[in-house]
This record gives sequence, C-alpha cells and structure tokens, in this order.
Amino acid sequence: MKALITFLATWLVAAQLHADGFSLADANTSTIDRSKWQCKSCSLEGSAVSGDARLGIGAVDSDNDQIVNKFGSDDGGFAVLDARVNGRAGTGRYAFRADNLGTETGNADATYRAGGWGVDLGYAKLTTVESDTAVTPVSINGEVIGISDGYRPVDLEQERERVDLGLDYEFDLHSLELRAFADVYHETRQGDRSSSIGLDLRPANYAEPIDYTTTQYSGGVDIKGDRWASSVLWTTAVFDNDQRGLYAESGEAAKALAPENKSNLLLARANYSLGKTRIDVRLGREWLEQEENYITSLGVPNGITHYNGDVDVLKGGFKLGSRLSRRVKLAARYDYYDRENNSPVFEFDQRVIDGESGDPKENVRYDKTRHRVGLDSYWRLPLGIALDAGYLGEFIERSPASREDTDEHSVYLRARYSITPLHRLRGTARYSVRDGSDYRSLTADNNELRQYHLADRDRWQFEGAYIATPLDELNVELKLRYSDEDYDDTRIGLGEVEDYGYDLTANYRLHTDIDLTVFGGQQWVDRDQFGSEAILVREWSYETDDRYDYVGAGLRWDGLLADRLSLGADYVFSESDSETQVDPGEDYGDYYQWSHSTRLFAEYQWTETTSVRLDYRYERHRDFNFADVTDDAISGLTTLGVLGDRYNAQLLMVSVRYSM
Amino acid sequence: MDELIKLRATCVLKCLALTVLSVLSLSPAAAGDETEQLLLEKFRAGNYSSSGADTCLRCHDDAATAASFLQSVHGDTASPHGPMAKLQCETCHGPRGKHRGRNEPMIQFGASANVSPELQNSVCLSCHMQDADESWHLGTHDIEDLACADCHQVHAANDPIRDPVGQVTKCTSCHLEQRAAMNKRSHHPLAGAQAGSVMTCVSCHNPHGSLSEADLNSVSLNDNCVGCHAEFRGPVLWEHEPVVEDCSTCHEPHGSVNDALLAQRAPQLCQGCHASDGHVSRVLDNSSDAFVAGQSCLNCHSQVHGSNHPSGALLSQ
Repeated sequence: MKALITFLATWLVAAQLHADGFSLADANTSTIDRSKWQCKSCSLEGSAVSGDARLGIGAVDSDNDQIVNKFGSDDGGFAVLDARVNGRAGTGRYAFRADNLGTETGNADATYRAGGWGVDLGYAKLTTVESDTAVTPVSINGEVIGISDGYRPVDLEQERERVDLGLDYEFDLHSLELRAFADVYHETRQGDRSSSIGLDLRPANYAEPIDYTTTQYSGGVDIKGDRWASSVLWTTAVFDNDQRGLYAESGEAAKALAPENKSNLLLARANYSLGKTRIDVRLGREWLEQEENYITSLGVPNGITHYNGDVDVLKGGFKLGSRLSRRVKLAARYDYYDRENNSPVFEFDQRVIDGESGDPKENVRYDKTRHRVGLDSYWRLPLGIALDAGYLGEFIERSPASREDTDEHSVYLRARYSITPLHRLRGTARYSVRDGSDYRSLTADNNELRQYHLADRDRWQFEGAYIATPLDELNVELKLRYSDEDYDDTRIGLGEVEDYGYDLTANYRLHTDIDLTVFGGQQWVDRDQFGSEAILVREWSYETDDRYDYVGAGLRWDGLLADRLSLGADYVFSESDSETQVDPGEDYGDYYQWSHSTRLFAEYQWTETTSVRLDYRYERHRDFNFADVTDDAISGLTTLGVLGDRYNAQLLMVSVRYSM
Repeated sequence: MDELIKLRATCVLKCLALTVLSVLSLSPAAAGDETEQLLLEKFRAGNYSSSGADTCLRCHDDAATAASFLQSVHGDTASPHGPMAKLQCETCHGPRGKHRGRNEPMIQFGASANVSPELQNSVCLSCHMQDADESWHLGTHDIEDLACADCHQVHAANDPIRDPVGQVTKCTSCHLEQRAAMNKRSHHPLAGAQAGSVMTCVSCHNPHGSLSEADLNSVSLNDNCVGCHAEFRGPVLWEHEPVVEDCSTCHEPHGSVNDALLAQRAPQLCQGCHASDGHVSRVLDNSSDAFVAGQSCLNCHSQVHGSNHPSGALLSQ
C-alpha cells in the first residue's frame, strides 16, 4: 500500500509540472476592474424572439403501415410542426423545439430559465411497426387466450408516448456553485408484439398485448468548487404492466407476462483536478425489487404468493488521468460491478399447460462480480506520429455457471500519422485472450459444448483509415476493418467468427453553392458452428455468412434564382442478407431485406422571413424470411403467417417556414 | 513470501514512478507555436478590458451574430454561472491585452482556431468539465484531439448538435460504421432514420466521456438497455443467465442483418449455448420443421428474457 501511495503521489506531483492552459481557475484577475462592465449592448430590443417555425401538411401513400418506421407517418394525410424558437420573457429566457410534431412519431421540448431557476418540459411519441402482414387465429379476450376458427389480420405495432418534466435551481454558496434538480418522466407503451405461447400443448405464435407504464423520479444536487465537483443522485424507476398474464380457456395459466418491477439507485460521483491530473470517482448502489403475484398457485409452495425478488447491485470505479507533458498522457482505470441476488429459493413443481404435474425444480439465483482494470498511454511523437497503447483486463466471477470465472486480457496499439496536413493515416491493432476456470456443464448439455460467452477465445482486431483532403473542395475517408474471434478450445458450439468490411465516404464542393456527397460500404460476418448428438465427435456444422451492402449519394444546391431557391436530393440503397449452409443437411433459404430510400426537396425563399418548401420521399422495401411459413404449413404449429413486408411508399409534403 | 511480494511490488511501482519522471524530463518542453505562446503569456498577464463585452461589441457588431449569441446559453446575462456572469467575452477569448484588430490575437475556436484543441478545450472545461457525470479527461474524444468547437457552435442561439437529427448527423460523420448500421434489417429508431424520433447516439453514449465501457451513460450496458426496455429489468423467478451476463451476448445494439438486433438468428444463436440431448443437439436444417420455422426455438421457449411463471423453468411460459 505504501508503494502504491508513493507511486500515486509521484504521479500527482509530476503531473503538475506542465499545468498550462486557459482554465478560468488559473485566470489572473488581480488587476481587473469590473466597475464599468455594464454590457449596454447586451439588450435584445426588437429581437427578443429568434428562430423559425415550420408548418406543413402532407400525405403518405402506402399500403403497408411499416412505412411509419421511416416516414414517421403511415398512409393518409398529416399536419406537422417543426420549430426552433428562442426568446426572452421578463428576466427569463425560453426555448422551444419541435420535430415532426403531430404525426405518429414526433417530439418537442420547452425550456424556461430565469435567474437560477430552470424548467424543462418534454414530450415524445414513437410508433414502430414490426410487420403489417400478420394474420392469426388466436383471440385474446381480457386475460383469456384461445384459438378461434377464422384468421384475421393483426397489427404488430407499438406506440411509446413519453412526457418528462425537470426542475432545477442554480445558486452560489460561499465560493461553491450548486445546482439542485428534480426530474420525473412517465412513459406509456401500448400495442402488440410477436411472441409465442403453448396452447393445448402446441406452440402458437401470436400478437402479445403490451400495456406498459414506466415512471422514473430522480433528484439530486451538484456541487462545484474551483477544481472539484461532486454529485449525488437518487433515482426511483417503476415499471408497471397492466397485462400480467394470459390464461387458457380451460383456466390454466398459460403465460406470465413481464412482471412489475422497481429500481432504486443511489449514485455519488466526484472529480478533482490537480494541475494536469484529474481523478474521477463514482460509487453507486442499486436495489431491484419485484413483488408481482404469481398468476397461478399451481406448483407454488404453500403460503407463497409472489417471488419477492430482491437484487442488490454495487457499482463503483475511478479513472486517474494525467497530461504529463504535451507529448505524453497516461490514464489508469478501474471499474467494479457486483450483483447479488438475495431472492428466496423454493422448489416449484413444473406443470405444463394442462395442469399435469412435472418435476420439481428450484429457482436459480445468479450472482455476478466484475472487475475491469485499464491502463492507457498516449504518446505524441515527432514527424506527425501519435501512438496510443494500453491494456484492459476484465475479470468476472459468476455463480452458478458452467464456467464461474473468466479472465480476459486485451492490449491495443493505435497509431495516427499525418503524411501531410491534408493526408492522414490511422491504424489500430487489438489482441485479446480469454480463459478462465474449469468448464463444467451445469445442465444436461454435451460436455464438449462451450458456451460462446464463457469459452476460451483469442480475438484479433485491425482497423485502418485514410482521411484525405486532396483538393480544397474534396474530402475523402476510407475505413477498413477486420476481426477474427477464434474459440480454439471449442469442439461443440461456436468455433470462429470473422467480421470484415469497409466504409467509404467522399464529399465534393462543386461550387460555393453545390455540395455533393457519395458513400458506400460492405460488411461480411462469417461464422462456423459445430454440434453433435454424440459426445466428443463433431457430427454437423453450420456455416453462416451475413452480408451487408449500402451505397448512397446526396446533393445540395443553394443560391438558385438569385439566392432564393435551394434544392436537395438524397438516395440510399441498403441490403442485408444472411445465408446458412448446413453440413450435412439442407441449406437455409432466403433471409434478406433491402430498401431504396429517396428524398427530394425544394425550398423557395418567398419573402425575407417566409419560405415555402416541397418535400418528396420514396421508399421501396422488401424483406423476406424463409422461416415465415403459412399457418397450415407445419402440423401443430400456429404461426403469424408470412411476415415479409413488400411495399412502395411515397410522401409529399408542402410546408411554410417563418423566421423570427 | 509475503514480504518478498511486497518488496517486488514496491520495486515495480518505484520503477514506474521513475519512468514517469524520466519521460517528463526527456519530453521536450511545450514548444507550441508563437501564437500559442503569446496567448499563454497574455493569459498569465491578465490585462482585461476596461468595459467588458461593450469593448468587444464596438467592433464585433454584426447584428445577426450578436443577436444569436445573446440568445444562446453562453450569452445569457441572467445566468449566474454562465460566461456573461464571469468575465463576459474574455471568459473564453482571454484577456484583451492590446488587441485592436489584427495587431494581437485573441483565443479563437473552431475553423479559425489559433491554438491546439487541448488549449481550446481548456477554456470550455473550466466550466463544463466540473460536471461530475462526465469524464472528458483522457477519454475517447480527448485522445482523438477533438476540440469542443468541432461539434458545438458556441455562439449559436440553436446549436445544431442539440437537435436530435443534427446530433446523429454529427456523430455519424466520423462513426461511419454506425451510420451504415442505421439501415440494416434491424436497427434502433434513431433520429434521421425514422422521422420524428427523439432517440440519438446520446441516448446511450456520453460523447464527453464517462467511466463506463464505450462511454455509456449508465454504469453498465444492461443498465443502459433497461432504461428503455424496463420490462427486462427483473428480477424474475426464472432468469436466463446470458441476460444477467450482458445484453450484448445476444444483441448487436447498432444494427444487425438479423431481426431483433440479434447477432445470430435462432436456432443457431440458441445452439451456441445449448446442446442437451434431444432436439437441441440435433442438426436443424429443415424450414418445414417447427424447430426452424416460425419463431424457431422461441416457438416454445418464448420467455428468453426470463419468466415469472411458477412452471417457467424452461422459459416457455
């Protein structure tokens, strides 16, 4: 310990040697005379409000509601408000911002600050559609689920709506700056998502109802000194679900839906700067609770009504960093995370849907402790070379698990080289190796199986980039990357993952008013996986090849018609594809998605304060999954039909912008 | 033995300390260019103007720029902790000294910067890096020599990066791989990818640095995820070990060619960890098979994030 203190003290003393900069705390104000500092020019007469607001009306033409994932609106007309407004009222200052407000996906926030007081009010709505082609014979009436004769379309759509309110007060106390704050946010999430359930001992894919509410309260205080700061934060988050479970028509409890839960977090953070050294520290404790009543008493020990889930999490860490000189910087990091599940353990009879009794089983409490340590160094060398090198160690203890301890060591070297100020190269190499305690399967798994997140692994990662400005008007950036994960001790399970690709972007200013951007890239991810019904012998393998391609361009042309007209166009094509080869066996079928996205706009400056804009968007989308089969394709399996979405959609909007 | 270990540890740490000092002594003194040295000397001399902002606005009097600044958070004269409550323009641009046009420089930022990013940032950090939830110092963007003004417009009434779309656009102008992932088969509804969405890179990451992995806002990755996906926070009666371990065990948060941000589709993903006798250890190759078609393993084991059903040990109820 003495040696460690000596080292840290040396570090701290050394780091003060080059403490130069423009920090306000170091400002020499000994001769300042502020008696005449009135700022007469700071009044905003006649310009108390600034910004702009845009009001638009438009329509979407689409036969598939999934278009909301792109346009924020589905088929039909809409009106929309976009705004950025700042102003002053009395002694205070306000700001209002709105994006796409009025459609299925939009948001807005308003702020008012006066003196040390501040109030923030926010609103956001987000609609997402998983698929618009699902059909189902499954009917849900309240909490009762069953299978009816006919098929009907069902929406796999979710809508989140959030309101948040924040209040804060800033004030000085002696030489300290303080800020006290309180925030609350409330979010509802409703709709349906695809899931599955066992009915009459047969699986049925269905649209699972969602009726979630999340409310979060937080409050705390920030305290700042000249060279230090600290903060204490308390957060309580409560999750409610109005749909607690589903029952078969026979009355059996078919499925428990997400139970209500609650989290309380106390987090303290602090930092201290001494010269060119800074230390950041945090320490937090979180209590997680879950007391939802079980949806059935079948299989539950007598006298027990709910889980009484109780998990304590302790989290902490620090970073000590120093700019030892303008050429050398060093940092040391440590992070600690400990999850302790204190929930009770009981034996539960495992009963299937028809109420027949099964084997009793004890619930399992998972505990986890993680330590992370890191050392980073940064060296700026002559000739325009910068090197970063460092180490990261991650040590995890988990219980119970097939491998209770894993240790991962990573080293990296990153180099940056400026060939000239206009041509720069970057390269990064990383190597990590993971091993750990003896692997002992806790389940009836094949003893040769190695779960990929616990298995021995060697990983190499390389990244390179070339960033150039060959002409004043032209910027080019090319990035390459390759990584290889080798699970060299795995005979059964994931064997190897290769991930490689490139991204390219170029921007060319053809003229003062014309800007052209092109971009594109590809990524390949290849996985080898092995399995067996026997012990020791690899009997079969999967080879999965994922591919992603994208290409696009954008054009912006300003200054037309005597500086009154601006034109813009953007286009992106993207394609996701995955192929799985099975040996021995039949290769998997098509699994892809592609889309063409086009945006065009023209904006005409009608008057000094008013402009008119026309927006057009076109989307052509296809996705397919070979595993989506019609409902009658497989005996005993009820599906949601073929979920592949195929649509062409257009959006046309005209809007008027008023500048204040 | 313990004494020997302590002695060795002491020697190692002392050697490291000596190395640090050696590096310092061998490193050339901060050379800087003439402008930087001049500005540092001006800063130390501390010859501030006699009339504060009024002095500056006599020449820097472009009406639109001044109005925009005075509407901005930095131009707020009522804020007790803003630059106007401190040394006004000279809070950031340094003491005036003899500056009168081009005769003597002031500290400048962004495209017209005349000092290094580190020195520019030392101005901003005077106020902002005292925020306890941020850790810029030797964080990712600090190491990359980014200046605050590379991303922020500090004089603008509406800093574009404060808008959701502007923020994502700015981040992805460098993070090309993440920009590409916004169009994959499954991806988060980021602003720009979905019109009107309020979700941005900053919803998960702190670009000013944090003590967490990948500069996440929360203490751990799972804490970050359950901020929006609170239904998976738990605890539940029957937990699934990889969910407790880390959400990224199964999911790719920036986008995936598979549905639901999965790194691999089922059944391959599940068979990466499960190979017990019976259906799990079989080769699954037939899409007319209930183990592959529909939702694959999730046809029966739909509660992969955990179950609170008393009979849910197999995560099927």
